[in-house]
Amino acid sequence: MSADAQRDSPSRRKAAGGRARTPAGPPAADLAAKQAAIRAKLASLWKDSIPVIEQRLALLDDAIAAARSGTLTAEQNSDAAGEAHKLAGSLGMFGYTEAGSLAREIEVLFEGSPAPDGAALEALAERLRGALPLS
Amino acid sequence: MRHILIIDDEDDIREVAALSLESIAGWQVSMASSGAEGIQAAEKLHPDAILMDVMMPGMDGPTTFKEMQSHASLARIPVILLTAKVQGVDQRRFHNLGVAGVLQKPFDPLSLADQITSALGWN
Repeated sequence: MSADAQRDSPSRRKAAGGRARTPAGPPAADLAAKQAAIRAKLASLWKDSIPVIEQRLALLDDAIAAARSGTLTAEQNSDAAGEAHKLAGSLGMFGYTEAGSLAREIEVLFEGSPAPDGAALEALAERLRGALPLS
Repeated sequence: MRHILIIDDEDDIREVAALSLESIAGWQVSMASSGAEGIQAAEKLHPDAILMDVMMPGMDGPTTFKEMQSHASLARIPVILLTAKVQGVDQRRFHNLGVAGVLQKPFDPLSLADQITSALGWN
């Protein structure tokens, strides 16, 4: 079961059946107020997303350990590239652009070789964790 | 009021996109978490446009788009693909499908509505 499928978040329930939802309240008076409200909600959404992010980082850690020991399977490599791809596509929207770039570098390394450089991956993963407020 | 259907398998992407489009643009937003669910939702809701992820398990975005094109009732709904693929060859391949636009992930929540508006000529 995927990490997404394990979550029973409000968003997943809303997504089921493609039901429409309407804006929760009247629009803010001006753009600055709207932007401030979005930033506040993004911070809340980020906290909700941390468990999934942690799962993705753990999968990357396992794949990197396998790469370092020379036991990385093709499936593990593909899965790790996919998880890094998802991180690269999402972290920036929360404002963590450096972390997103690091995830992109990890994706490229996994995609580029059946036996990627484990030491380089480990260094990137460490920087990636350091660039994210996960607690 | 514009009505957008977001199709993406990732909870956080759907939530942030919906938050952006509802709060900034005041659009109505519906969501689906897979290609198959998205087709059902589109048939039921007939949104003004669809914002859809490229990489999804099962039916991916391009396959879902092609399936929609075979449904007379859905073929006229403009589709914008969202992708984290950065290479030009990928971007061109997606454009060549006949979609209304291709937007890059990660997107900026504060400008997503503007990007969609521009891609669809809604100015």
